[in-house]
Amino acid sequence: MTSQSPSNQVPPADWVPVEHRFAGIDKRTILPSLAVLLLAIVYSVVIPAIDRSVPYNEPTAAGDVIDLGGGRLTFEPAPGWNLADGVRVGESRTSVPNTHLTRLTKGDTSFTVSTGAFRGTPTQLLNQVDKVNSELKDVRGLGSSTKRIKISTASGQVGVMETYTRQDNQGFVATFVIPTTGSGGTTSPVGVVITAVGSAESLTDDAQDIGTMIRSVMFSNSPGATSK
Amino acid sequence: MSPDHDELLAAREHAIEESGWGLDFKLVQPHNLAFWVYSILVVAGVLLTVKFYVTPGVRAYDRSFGFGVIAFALYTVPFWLFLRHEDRFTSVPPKLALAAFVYGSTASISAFAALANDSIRSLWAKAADQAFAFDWSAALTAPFSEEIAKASGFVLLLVLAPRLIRSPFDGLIVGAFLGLGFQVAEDVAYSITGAAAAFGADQIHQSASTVVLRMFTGLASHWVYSAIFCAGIVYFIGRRPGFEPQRMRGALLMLLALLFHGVWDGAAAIAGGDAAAALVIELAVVVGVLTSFVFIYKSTVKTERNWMRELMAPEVESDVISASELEALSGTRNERKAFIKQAGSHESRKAARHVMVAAGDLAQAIARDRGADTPRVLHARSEVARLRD
Repeated sequence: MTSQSPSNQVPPADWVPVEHRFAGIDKRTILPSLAVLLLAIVYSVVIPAIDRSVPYNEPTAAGDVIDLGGGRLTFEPAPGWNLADGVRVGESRTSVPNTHLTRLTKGDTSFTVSTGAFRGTPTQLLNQVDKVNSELKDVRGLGSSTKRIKISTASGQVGVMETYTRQDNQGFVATFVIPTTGSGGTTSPVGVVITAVGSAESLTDDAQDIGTMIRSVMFSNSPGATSK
Repeated sequence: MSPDHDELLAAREHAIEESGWGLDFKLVQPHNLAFWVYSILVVAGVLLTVKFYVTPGVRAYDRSFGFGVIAFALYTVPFWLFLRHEDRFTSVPPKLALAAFVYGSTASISAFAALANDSIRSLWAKAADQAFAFDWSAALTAPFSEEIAKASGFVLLLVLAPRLIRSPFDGLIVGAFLGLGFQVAEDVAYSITGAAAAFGADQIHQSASTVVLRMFTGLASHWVYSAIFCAGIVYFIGRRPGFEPQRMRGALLMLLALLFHGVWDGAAAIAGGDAAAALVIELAVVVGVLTSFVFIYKSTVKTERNWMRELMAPEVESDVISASELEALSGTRNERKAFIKQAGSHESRKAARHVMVAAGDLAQAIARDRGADTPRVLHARSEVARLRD
């Protein structure tokens, strides 16, 4: 037979011995709990604040070529812009995927190139970008579109550009759909969405740089063929 | 010569006390600061998750979001059942497992990792350059930020349930549930980014490839990294009385989890862009991490088996179960299967299986009622006898 002994009595889970109480809290729980809370503050406040306080500058130079995918889809940045996201051809150990974001900044102008799989025309891609932007409540901060024009790159890729104006800034979105060929010979179209945003003054000053960068977008059959 | 009755009862009492078996997990403990911190961080995690999905992203990517939620909710079920099955002595109560899953899927990811990861990766770019950050920042960031984010939940649960988390085995199981929550929440987020990367067009198709990839890679992902890391924490700090710290082993296990996570995230860069080599590295991580899990499981479950042996030994003395049934009950899964198989005919094997389950119920009843002969224990004992007849 089994029996119950007094030593088997277990205090309730919420029972705190008198000597361990402080202001209604179990003193033994304070240190580890505060450590976790402090850790949360470090993650959510301290680390982002450190990041914001550290300046970043990786200027582009003449002859740089930015990798938009596999070292074959590329564009040439104008010198003197800050490479905020993205890599130059041949600089990374890993292959840049066809889904990628590149961002250059100069003053208050931001020049962004997004790539991703897309089957359709540049106009359909621009329609899709506008649709998502509308559903996202204009996260680009570009307001309403004004007009669309056809554009082309130096390598003959034809795209569509739409300009926007708002009270505080201006910008445009340009789209291309570029047929790329994989190493196995398979062809897959890649959508390229270029967005430029800035104040009217900055965009005017940077117009030539921006135009040159857009015209330099190209796909090459040999990886790194366009690298400096 | 067999130990006398008093010694057996003392050993049972010792097993109940050390294992924490039979105790309920109570989350709401106003006197426990860990409860308040847990609540604050989970609420913050939920609010940040809602902010991420609902305003306004879900409108633009509603199909991929819905698809991801459904797919990964279904994906969670077999994982959950597997982990409950592996916790064969139910040393981690379901409510504790749920608390771990909830923290992992809300606080760990949204209130910790998601807020810090981008900043840390950005700092890598500032410290080196974009190319370095592109190659290595994930491998040098996520293992530390994410394993620590998940482990923060384990620390809170240790404070909330000090009598329930009693061994590295408990760390392994609770850690797995924390990691599973994190993994599922991250997977749902990835299903949206998969669609966003294709400009929101053809969302189901774009998300499907991401979802399938994440399901495959998830077979050896956060759930197992955290399981190893949290088992390491218990080894490192010990659980007195009963389990002395083994700092070297604990530190090595935590480092091992960080290493596996880092190598996985940095596989492409380590391989130098060679896709085949990267795949080999990733497969090596999968094999390594699952082998480590099995090794830790086998070495830590021994403590649980010893507790089961001590808990049920008095039942052998009083002829409720036989010595061979106790060996099977507290043995490995294979030993248990072999015991059932040797019963002979189909009917006998079925009866032996039922007795095993009923003996497990009896063990739980004894642990829950702290070794007393309560009506629940007496009934569980009578069930063993009934099923044997």
